Amino acid sequence: MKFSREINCPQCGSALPLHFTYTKLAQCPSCGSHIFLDDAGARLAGEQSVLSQEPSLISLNESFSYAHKVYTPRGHVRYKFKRFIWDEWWLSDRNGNGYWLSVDDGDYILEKEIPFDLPIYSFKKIKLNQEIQGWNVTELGEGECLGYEGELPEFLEIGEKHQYAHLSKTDGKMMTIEFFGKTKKLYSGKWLDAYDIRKALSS
Amino acid sequence: MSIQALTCPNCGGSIDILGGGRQVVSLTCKYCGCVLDAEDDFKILAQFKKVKIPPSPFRIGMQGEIKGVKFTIIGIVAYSCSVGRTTGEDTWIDFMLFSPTHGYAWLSYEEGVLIFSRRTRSIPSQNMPRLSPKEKLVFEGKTYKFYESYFAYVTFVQGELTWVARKNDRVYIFEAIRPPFGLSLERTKNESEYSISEYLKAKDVYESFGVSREVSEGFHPLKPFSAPLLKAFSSVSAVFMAISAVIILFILIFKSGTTVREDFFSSRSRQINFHIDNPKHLVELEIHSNVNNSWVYYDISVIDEHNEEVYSLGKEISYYHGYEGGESWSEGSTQASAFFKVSKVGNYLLLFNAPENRRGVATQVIIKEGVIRPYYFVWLFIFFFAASALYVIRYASYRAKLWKHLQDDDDD
Repeated sequence: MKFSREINCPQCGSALPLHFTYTKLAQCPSCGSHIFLDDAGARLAGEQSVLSQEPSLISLNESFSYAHKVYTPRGHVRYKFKRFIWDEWWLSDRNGNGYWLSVDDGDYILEKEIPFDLPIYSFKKIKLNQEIQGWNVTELGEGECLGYEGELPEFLEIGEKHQYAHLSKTDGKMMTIEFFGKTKKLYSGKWLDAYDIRKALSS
Repeated sequence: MSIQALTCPNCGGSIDILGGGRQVVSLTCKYCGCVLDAEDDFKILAQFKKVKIPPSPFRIGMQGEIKGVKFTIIGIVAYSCSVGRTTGEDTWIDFMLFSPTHGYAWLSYEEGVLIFSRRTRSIPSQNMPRLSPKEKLVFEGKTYKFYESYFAYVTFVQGELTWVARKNDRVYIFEAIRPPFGLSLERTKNESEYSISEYLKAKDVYESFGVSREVSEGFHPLKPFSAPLLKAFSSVSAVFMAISAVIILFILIFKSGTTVREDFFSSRSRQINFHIDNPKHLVELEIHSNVNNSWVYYDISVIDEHNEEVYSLGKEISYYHGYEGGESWSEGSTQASAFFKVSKVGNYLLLFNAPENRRGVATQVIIKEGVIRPYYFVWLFIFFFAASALYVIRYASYRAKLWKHLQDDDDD
């Protein structure tokens, strides 16, 4: 099943191929404009960005498979922490479900947003190696959005910062808590072995 | 991958930064051995004084492909193991590899053997530290055998690493094997990390990394037993052994010949006529004698219709037996056989002469035609059996070497 809406770019008028019913941010493939989508329609988002091409197993709109499941990267966000960068890819599977794939120095973590049910209220109160409901806090950091491309399920601004905490279990299961000001989100997923990521035969 | 320039704050020597990713936290100066903090303005954290780089065909900055992924060697850590480790040499070198797409990995070099390792966040079904050697554990649906555990100590560091390594840092290593694959757990005071390993064909790695000289490989628990020709030969040997055995049985049951003449005499000489219809196969001469603690010698000739000798031989039958020292003994036999071939169908004359047969020993002669001897197939069976046995012996020798440390532990 494939979800699609037809909306035209307010900048150049080209049709936008939107694969998610809940896409909030998209980049026009014709003119490169960033477009914010809401119930009222499409309007131009703020600052434009161009992401440099880094070596990666993942490319926008090029499907890949992992554990017999096919994913297609629809959006791409690049974040910066201190002097390092990492990428987050917004993926859709063949049923139209959305996932985030975090790619950091060959570490691939696939997660899906879940209802927030952890007793965590503030980023400042999370400590490294703290145990939260059987999960171990393995990384704390802050991400600054450097830019994005493709379609995304949420509105982002270049330069926007958020705090995050990675929680791990010993069997490769991962959780991420993100704090955008007072808003917090929880994602759950697993670590992927980069050597098992394969290029899909078809999208 | 870009290489930036940096000078060591201790000796001023240039340090190449290979851009080994965000997880690199320390760099070690190749001139003075100072370990520098990559996260805090390259402050000096520790120093490896007067430590020489261990010999190996690899060096920092080399690039090559492993399992289809392009890697750069960004760091080196040499280890020495404790007395607890009983296989291999006491030292080995781990080269830290980095790929922008696949992250970090290790290329271990030990006695010329190359092992590729990388971190996994999956864990095995059993708790490795609680296992005994040869105990099974399941990881990613595959069964491994616990091999050994030992302490290793850092003896040398160079280049970029994802942690700050100091001399004599200790790591407790637990290893399970499924050659050519391995699973290891490395425990330090701060963390536990699982890695999956794989034995690599050194030649491929040397070629890819541009190493010109090859080093002969020693023994390593992840190096699989390899005797491909012998294994293939052993596999087909089982088939040929079975075929040979069936043929031998068939010959013994169905091709032992047809009696064409039987005679019985006790004189010193005898002429026996017989007719051969099947000259394609052997003629068997079966001789029985009632010698008892005695012997008899026969001169035997076969004469054809043209009065020409086609075969001759001398045959002795001797049989002795007795009772001595509370035990019965015997030697020799009361019968003998001879095989010969004639060229055509016809009548033949068998001449028997036993000039020494003064006692009138009775002799029975049975002549058979159409006899096939399983002689060649018996040798074939022995040959294939030997090939199979050689493979089994070599494999047993490999297994004995693989698990030798258990024997050594028992001896201790």
